[in-house]
Amino acid sequence: MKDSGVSLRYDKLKQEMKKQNFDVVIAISPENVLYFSETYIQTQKSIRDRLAIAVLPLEQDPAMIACVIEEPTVENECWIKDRRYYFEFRESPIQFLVDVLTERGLLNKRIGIEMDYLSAAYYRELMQRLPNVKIESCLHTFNVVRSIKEEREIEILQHAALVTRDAYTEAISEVGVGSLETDFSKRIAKKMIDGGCTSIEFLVMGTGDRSILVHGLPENLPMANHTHGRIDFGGLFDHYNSDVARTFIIGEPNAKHVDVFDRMMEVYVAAVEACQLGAPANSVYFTAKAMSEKMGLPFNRVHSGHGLGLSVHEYPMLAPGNETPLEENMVMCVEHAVHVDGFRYHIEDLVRITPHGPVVLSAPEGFHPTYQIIK
Amino acid sequence: MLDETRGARYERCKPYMEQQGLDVLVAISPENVLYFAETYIQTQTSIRERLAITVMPLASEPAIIACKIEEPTVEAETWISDRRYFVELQCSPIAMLADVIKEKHLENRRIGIELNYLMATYYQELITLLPNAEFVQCARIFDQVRAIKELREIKQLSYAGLNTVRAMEAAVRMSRVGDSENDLAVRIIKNMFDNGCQAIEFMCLGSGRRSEMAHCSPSPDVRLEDGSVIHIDYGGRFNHYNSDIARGILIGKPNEKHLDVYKRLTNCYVRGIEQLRPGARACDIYQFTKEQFEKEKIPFTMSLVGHGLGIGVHELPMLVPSETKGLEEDMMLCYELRTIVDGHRYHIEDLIHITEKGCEVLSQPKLDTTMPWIQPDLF
Repeated sequence: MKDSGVSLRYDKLKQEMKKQNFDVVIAISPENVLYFSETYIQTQKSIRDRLAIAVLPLEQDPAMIACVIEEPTVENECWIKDRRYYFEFRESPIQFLVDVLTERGLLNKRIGIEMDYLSAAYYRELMQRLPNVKIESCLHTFNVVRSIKEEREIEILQHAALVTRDAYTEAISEVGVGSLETDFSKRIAKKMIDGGCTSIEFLVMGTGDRSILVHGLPENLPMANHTHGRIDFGGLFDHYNSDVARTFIIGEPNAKHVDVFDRMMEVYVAAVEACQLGAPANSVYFTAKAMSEKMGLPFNRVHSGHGLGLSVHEYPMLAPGNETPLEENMVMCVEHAVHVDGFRYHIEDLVRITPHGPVVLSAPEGFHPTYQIIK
Repeated sequence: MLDETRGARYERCKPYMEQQGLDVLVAISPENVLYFAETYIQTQTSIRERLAITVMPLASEPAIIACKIEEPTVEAETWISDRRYFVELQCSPIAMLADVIKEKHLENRRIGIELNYLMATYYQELITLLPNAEFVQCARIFDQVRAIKELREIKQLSYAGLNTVRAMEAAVRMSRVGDSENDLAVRIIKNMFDNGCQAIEFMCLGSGRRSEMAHCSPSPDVRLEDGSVIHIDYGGRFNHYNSDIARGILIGKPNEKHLDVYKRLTNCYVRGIEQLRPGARACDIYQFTKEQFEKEKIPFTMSLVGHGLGIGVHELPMLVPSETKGLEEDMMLCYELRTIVDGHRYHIEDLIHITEKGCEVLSQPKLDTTMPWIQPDLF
């Protein structure tokens, strides 16, 4: 609640900070400022130099720093009581940060900041202003807290996934062989907007030969009979991402495409079923790998999925090097793709880790993945 | 008009490099990789650690480094011959960058890189791998090259601006007093998609007292109140190029106070647009605008009165007091003015093309500063 000085997320963060011995952590990415200060500063993404900063000490009072243009928004939303505003082009947000750290007596303490977001230019400025202070990355701290989703977050993520999925399914029934890729994609985008999506974050699609382009954009090209296509798309719903991938047949099914897809589904279902509470995150990846060999399909994946939330890629990454156990209320996209003879086949759904096994949030009616057909 | 041959943008960097003694420029932001390598790597924005890098030496061949997953796209699109791919989570893009720099014998030279984009962790890795290189901020060189638009860019931006305005005008005509803020926003967005927009970059919409917030999100629970006013500032991407339009919108029964403030604002706006021509300095335009606000007796609290527009939302020229460079032909900018009076924000913004002798308002070929109006039902 605004100006309350209280935040459950901050309390959880402090538990993690204690484990990692941080005296203060500093959020500067759009996702972490939104999550921890509970204030949405829209231009953080589009105007990267316009920093917003949440200073979150273990013992002392937190502080919020933002550009003065955002003052009405911050005053209206932020729970942090100490709120400071800098004039863009005249004052430095980094100087404001230094002031807060100095006032709070934190300069000789263990300071964490998002080193994977802070630009080198701002980092150099920070080091110039605080030459004797050691600053470390606290990415892991924030990621761990955000990886266990609150019930409200799970509801939003499920809603987002279902609207996204349904936008595609409805649009499929409206287009036909010969429809343009862009006509299909536009229908999907508009249905997502009708369903509450505030921003289409990505919509990549390719049919026929163009299916191989992992992130190709839909083009003004007709979808040809007897081939296939794939789409990977998602948007923001109340700041949370959706991310769904599907493969579709166009017109008369091509036996080869159907065969590859059917075998890919065996791999995919096995991967989803591997999402068990307590299992290491990489067990999903190794399951997919082993099943691919059994199905006679190539396996060139770098990962088999990723957490989803305010960011598109969050903890846990379902990658071979990640042995972190899956925990209750982690929410992730499980995805599988194969390239065969110059064509790409792809599928992706949203999965929640529960004590009773994985729950496919994007298929509440029952998980029976299949391809769709454009008639 | 600028040469649009593939690779010509890279050539346009070279005089700046020579002037500043830079042996190589390294582009890593999504905008600059797209602009210079002419390949669109979609996940650069959403997965920030998945770097794409364009290496542009002064005196040898350029190279592009991208994540392996993007290989089909890069192979299909870029003009650069030397293409290298790192496997995500296994190899470091920065290590690959260091290899390219060493192969070209540039490890002891002055390297321009986007220090305002490169993340600190990657920066630390880079200076460890190349301890004898001098890393210099080069964002301004890229900004200056991109500030002068090619004809294809002008056309694309013009299309984007015009269709963004049309989307709003059509949505306003469809809307009624009592609709929610979100109803209006959704109509605008869907119209933009129908008009060729691929993504909404931002949609700030607030009515009544909520208009005061610069970047208010439209609410499904707030109704458009008769006699009130909306502030909207919104834009989308059309084939990678942005639109950015702002308006005040009257709701229902005309409120003389809102009309009066908006008229004073647009008086400043029209006079300000008349100042936009090649040679006019950004700082002078800022100062002129401030003086007009004083004449019209409305509060002036802006740190900028406009900005360039292109692949980025804020590009050169920035119309700020510290910018002493003059405008040039074929710059594209948004001139935007806003004021807050009694808790309500009034805002207007259009796309301007600086021409040989003056300017043209591309988002409104016939400039009309009348406030858009959600008209009341008569019965």
